[in-house]
Amino acid sequence: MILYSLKAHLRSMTDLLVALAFFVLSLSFFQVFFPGLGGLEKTGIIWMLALFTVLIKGDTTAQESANGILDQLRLAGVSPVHFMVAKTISLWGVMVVPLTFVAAVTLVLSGIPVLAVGVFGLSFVLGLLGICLLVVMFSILTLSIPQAPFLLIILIFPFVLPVLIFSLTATEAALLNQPVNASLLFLGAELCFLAVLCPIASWAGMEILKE
Amino acid sequence: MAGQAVILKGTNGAGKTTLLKTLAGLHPLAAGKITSAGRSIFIGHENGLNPIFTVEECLQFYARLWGARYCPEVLSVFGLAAYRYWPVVKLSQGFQRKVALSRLSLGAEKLWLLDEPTAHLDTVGESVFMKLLQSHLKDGGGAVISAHKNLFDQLKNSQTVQVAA
Repeated sequence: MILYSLKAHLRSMTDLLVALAFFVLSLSFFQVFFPGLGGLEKTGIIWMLALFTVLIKGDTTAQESANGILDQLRLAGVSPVHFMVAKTISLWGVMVVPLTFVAAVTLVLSGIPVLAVGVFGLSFVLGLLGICLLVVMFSILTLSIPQAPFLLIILIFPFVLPVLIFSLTATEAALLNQPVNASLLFLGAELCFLAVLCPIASWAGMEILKE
Repeated sequence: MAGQAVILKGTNGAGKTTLLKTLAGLHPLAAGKITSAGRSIFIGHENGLNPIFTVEECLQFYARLWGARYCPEVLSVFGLAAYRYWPVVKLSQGFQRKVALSRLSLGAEKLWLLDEPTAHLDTVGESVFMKLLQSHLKDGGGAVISAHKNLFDQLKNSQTVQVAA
């Protein structure tokens, strides 16, 4: 299931490239027109752009539902939790490497200390997993709603904010040479919470679809 | 219902698709219980194909999903061998239906639940499907089929059920 989802993402290369182009171009825009931004502001902008990039790439669950693939998976006994985990890992898999690389290069070129970039990178990799979990979960929960893409953006924000806050406080602490453990642990705790919540919510969403 | 086919007929909105989905387990039952002696395959209005995958990849995916062995010969049943590397999105609706129906030859499901299986098929496709169905029934399989066409009237060992809303 993971390989199938990964293959589906890689096959729709245009969608992936459009999303990545948005990230790179938007980041370059900020670099060129706002060169005086501090390290913390830059990481904040990177986070917001990364969130939009994942939303632009989006999840393919809605198309799979329309094509009847979701029904076939259910008949084959693929559990909603298994499906959800596979979709999350594949989405994270195609986004994490290019986004982290571009973000890290941008921060290093901006003169941010390597240690702070490392802390940001770690929080970014973990936080992106949280965002992917949320995107897939809300894609499943909003399957029967026609205006789902717009609703997805509104619904996802309150859940993403803690990820952004703890990631930024970790980066800030690293920039000020302070301990970063507390913020990273909070980020890890948020991720654990999402890892429990999202599969349960997705299972419930799939059950509602049956009605 | 070994060796038998049940043809569901009825007007649009009568509930043929809902009945088939309920039999497949995709719709909850309001009351009662459905028991089946073997595994069933359901092909609905939607073909269940990922448009960005090739014909062969789609069939391989379903073979893997159901734990069946994929044989390339499956492609020749509906004359799809020449299209094996074509992405599904580039095929006409008739050919997409043929790919979906090729799944019937993949496994050994005893019960076929088919919703308008001959929709978009040409006459050649229809006759291939009818031969496949007759062979399935001869081997002791069963089928529940919803249909608007009178194509299934000639089928032996079949009974027609009128579905009314």
